[in-house]
Amino acid sequence: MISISQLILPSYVELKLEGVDKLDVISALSKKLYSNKVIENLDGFIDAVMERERLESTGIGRGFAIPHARSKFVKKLSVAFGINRKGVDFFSLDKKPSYVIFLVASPENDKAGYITTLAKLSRLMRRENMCEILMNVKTPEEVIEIIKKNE
Amino acid sequence: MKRVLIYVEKNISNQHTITWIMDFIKRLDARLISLYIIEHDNANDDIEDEAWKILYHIEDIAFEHEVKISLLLEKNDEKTSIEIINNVISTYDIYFMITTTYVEGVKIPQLVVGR
Repeated sequence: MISISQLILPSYVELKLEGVDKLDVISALSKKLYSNKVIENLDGFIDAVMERERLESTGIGRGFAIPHARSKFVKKLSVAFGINRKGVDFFSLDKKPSYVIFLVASPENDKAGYITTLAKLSRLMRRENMCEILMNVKTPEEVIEIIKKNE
Repeated sequence: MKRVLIYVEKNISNQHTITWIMDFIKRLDARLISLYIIEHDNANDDIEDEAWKILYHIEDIAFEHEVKISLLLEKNDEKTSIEIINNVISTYDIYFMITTTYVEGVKIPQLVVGR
């Protein structure tokens, strides 16, 4: 059974995510995973995520976005987390900016784990006031604790 | 770009059906809006997870076919499924809708005019 809280480590969390567009925030979160040795080719992974973004709106509404990719450059299924206070346009169907961003990185051969992770995250982010709750966290550990309590 | 709604059901995971739909949408150069409606009476975390899994499974196939796609999940708690579909059709300016049906035990895509 996949647990989202076990896929996010404190070192994968950025509470002050800088950037004005999708590429900025996806690059910043990808660098987190790269520096933690989750991905072995930074540009290759960012390209894979941006290729998805070209075809899909990963902004799921309510202030959330879940950019994602399966890639040969990913060593293990992981989730990076970031908060961008100004909001970034992920072309959500509700046309609202995304403030809370989960970047899901999956090895190419783990489709089941990848889809399960996306499904669980999407369900969690539909919880009432979840965006506000996550926007108010003070530490990376608090992010993980909130997810653990709600999954 | 035209938007086409696909009303997703639990048993749509028939690979042939999905492949047919993706090829069709690609030829139209349209964006697919994939909608799953959870029955309010049955709603729980496991059912919602399964619904999202089906949507993301379709998204993954859309990516392989280079089809643009957005995912929508709704619960029919305050509105009926038909009301939800009507709302999506008007909100997202849907060109037409695809649903599926059984014909002699074989699931085939069926086109339904959405506007």
